[in-house]
Amino acid sequence: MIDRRELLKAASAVALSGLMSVVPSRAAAAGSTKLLFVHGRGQQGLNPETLKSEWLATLNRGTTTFGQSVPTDIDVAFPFYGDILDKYTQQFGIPLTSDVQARGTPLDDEFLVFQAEFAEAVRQRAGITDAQVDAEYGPDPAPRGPLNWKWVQAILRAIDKNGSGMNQKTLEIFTRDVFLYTTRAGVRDEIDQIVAGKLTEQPTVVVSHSLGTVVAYSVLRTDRRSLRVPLFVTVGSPLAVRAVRDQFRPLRSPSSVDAWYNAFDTRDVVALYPLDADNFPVRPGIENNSSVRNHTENRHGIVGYLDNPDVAKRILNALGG
Amino acid sequence: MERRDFLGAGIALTGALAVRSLRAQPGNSNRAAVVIGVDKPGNLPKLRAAGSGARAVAEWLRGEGFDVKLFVDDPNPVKASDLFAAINAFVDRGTLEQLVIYFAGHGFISGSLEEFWLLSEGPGNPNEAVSLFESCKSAELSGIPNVVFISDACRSRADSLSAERVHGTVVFPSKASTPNAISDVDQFLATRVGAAAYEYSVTESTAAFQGIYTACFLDAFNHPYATMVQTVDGKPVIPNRRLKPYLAQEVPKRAQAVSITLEQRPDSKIYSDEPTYIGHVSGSGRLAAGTGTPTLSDVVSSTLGTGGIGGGALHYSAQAISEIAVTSGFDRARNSIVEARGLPSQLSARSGFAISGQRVESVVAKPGIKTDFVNSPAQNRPSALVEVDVRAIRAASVALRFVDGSGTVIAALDEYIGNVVVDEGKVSNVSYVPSRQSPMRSVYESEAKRLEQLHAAVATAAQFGVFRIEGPKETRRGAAAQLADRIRMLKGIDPTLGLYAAYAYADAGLADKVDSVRGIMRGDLGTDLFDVAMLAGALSGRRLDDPNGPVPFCPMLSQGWGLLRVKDIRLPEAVAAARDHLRVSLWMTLDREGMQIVENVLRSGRVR
Repeated sequence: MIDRRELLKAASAVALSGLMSVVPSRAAAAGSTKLLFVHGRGQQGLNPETLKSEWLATLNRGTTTFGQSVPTDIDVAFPFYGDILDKYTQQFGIPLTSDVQARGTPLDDEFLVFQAEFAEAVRQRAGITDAQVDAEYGPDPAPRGPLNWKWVQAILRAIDKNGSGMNQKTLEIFTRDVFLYTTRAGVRDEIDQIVAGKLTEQPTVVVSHSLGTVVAYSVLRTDRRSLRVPLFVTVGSPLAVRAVRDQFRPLRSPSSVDAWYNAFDTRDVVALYPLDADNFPVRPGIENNSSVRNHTENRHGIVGYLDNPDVAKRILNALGG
Repeated sequence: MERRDFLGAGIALTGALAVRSLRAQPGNSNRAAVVIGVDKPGNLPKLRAAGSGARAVAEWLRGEGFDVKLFVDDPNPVKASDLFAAINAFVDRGTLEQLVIYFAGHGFISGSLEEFWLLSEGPGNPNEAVSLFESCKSAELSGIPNVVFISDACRSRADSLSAERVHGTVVFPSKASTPNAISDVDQFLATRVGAAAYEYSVTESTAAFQGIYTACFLDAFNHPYATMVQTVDGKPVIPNRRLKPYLAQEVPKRAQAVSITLEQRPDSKIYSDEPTYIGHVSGSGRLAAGTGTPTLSDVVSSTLGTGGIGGGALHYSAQAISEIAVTSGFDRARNSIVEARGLPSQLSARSGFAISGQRVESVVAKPGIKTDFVNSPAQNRPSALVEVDVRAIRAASVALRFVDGSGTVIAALDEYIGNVVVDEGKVSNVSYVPSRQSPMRSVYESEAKRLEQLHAAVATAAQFGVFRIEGPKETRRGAAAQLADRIRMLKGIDPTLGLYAAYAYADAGLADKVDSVRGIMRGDLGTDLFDVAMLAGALSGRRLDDPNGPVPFCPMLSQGWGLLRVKDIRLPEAVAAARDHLRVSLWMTLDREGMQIVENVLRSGRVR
């Protein structure tokens, strides 16, 4: 019989030799855990298989930093809703704030209110001052308020200029897509169905990014099957922004999730609010990692999250590593 | 998984979560309560049982695992801002599954048929009161699955409290973004709200107030009838839904045990589904099964032959329902509406009104619209005929002033005669019939009897505050479909049926049905009725000074005035001031001063 001391010694030797990667491979071979990626917005027209390969390759870059790799025989799912979301954004035809010239339809106004609330939350967290917004707004005498598109535009411009990466147009499109998904039941149902269709009762590590974190949360909290999610990973998540969060009240931790790990870059303007007791008070609590330094231009890209060693390690461990 | 399966899973989950989440979790509760007891607002007579009732309720709820914030006026005053802060903090958590708001103290019904709760500094400070109706409407958007209001208000006439100008506070936050799901807001009221509710002076009501309702409510959990109990997670609970018949039976009985002359009819509006509950059974229970007593809701369901409308379950005997219809005054009120029929046929004009129960002193419309009237010389029941020429513009607002100085503002519709019934200085009913010039006249004549019976039942139910669609969402949808079937063709003959239906649909959270009614009525009438457009959200966020806007230029039903703030509708200031002059009445009835306000607005030509 191998005693405890010998076991630890053997494990250390394997780790040092960089051969630990064989362990997850064995676990995966036992068929215990699957990996499911949930992408964010702006993926329309892309090939899901290519995207899946890119996500995997990026994750492997992260695991390589500590000498491991994602098991090759693991079951990986990549539900793709990019084209459906794009179809809906075109159908609804909500003009972006920068395109608005006058009061629009009630839907436009509803979006404007949502966007104003979102932008204001980002502004506060990003430390952008009222004076900086005023500088963008100029001497316009019209009262500041959520239905004043010029004022909303000024906040977005101030974030663009004084934030750290995401430009005004991208932020507007991002907000519009989040708005459509969270407030239009038909959009949400169809996207949720796509993601839920790739989930099974097999233990699954769910890794989600950006709008995909909102989608994954929506699916996990409402699916009544006996799902088993040893780890739910959210990166670059806007879930704790009030305008988004409040669409999911009452907040509940999905009962199928054993652990929830949230990683973000403090310069990623749509993910500035951690999923903590103040901003997303679910029980059990969510582990937040704010140390990621996302190397993508707007500090929000999936590539800059998935190749982070800490993130990659958590995923790999949950997969059985 | 099929889309249908997924959606079905979501629906089924709601019930499962309700069971799981409503379990008491002391110290880590997803249930909270704000409990308020105010014995002495301002200089009003001190109540004996408000503060003690609140303390008892707070203790009970704590025992059930609620996170409770208690506000009683001993030693510090209870202020609206403190209540708002407490509720806002609870809502802001984002994790609550249930929130209970309890009040015991002085209350009153405003002219817009809303219940107000008076706080320590009211009624002298017009903001120091809670607007129950508006708070309920805001609570629907709180994101909390079940919000429960329990009101043990010692109800007095507003004039005896000097509270006519109290506008009160909405104690729920107004959020910029609305949640995906509308909350089920249940209401337990010690006394029914309605134009026909029993009202006492403050002296009478204070003397009689002993917290009977609170005692009954708490006792339901100590000694429930077997039929009230449901088992959840192996423990007996009383679902909110099953409290309704119990309270309807027990409260009047106990009130009369205190004093044979004390009339107290409680009301419950329940939208949550079983097993949503507040508390567990803590006592021994009763041996008798206990079927409860039929309520006015059951009378309405029985009269209309539509289960669900009025909230009644139709499981009582015809005799039991008939007794309630008689003793509550429902039958008498309905008969008085039926008796008023026939008068409009005496008017040969293309458009106008037949007034029953009052003579007319003046008729005012915007400049350019011809009006005329004649009073009947008959002494037994005063009446009047009014002619209004709106053929060029299809519809207009008309101020009818009666000889006692009071009056109303009403829509004059082309090719319709409005039948206005006035009882005891209040407009108790309005209906329309196609005039002789209308192509709808022949349809009306063939359907007249059915229409009059239906209208009388609907209008009486509205007068008693029980023309409403209750129950869980699917039940409401079914009941709404039944109602739509009943009135489909008839609302083209009498637009007030569409008006009542729109209020019932809006109250039940069936926005698509309201939109549908609005669309059909616009097609029939060539214009928007203010109330219907308001309920459909078409007037929200706008200042209403459009000469081509809806008719009339303000709500016709008194309760519509209570929706203006919730719906963010900004009436011209001159019109908004009329609100303080509303009498407690189903259809808007203004006192003399209020009539001067609306007549001046019409004469100015600024409104339609």
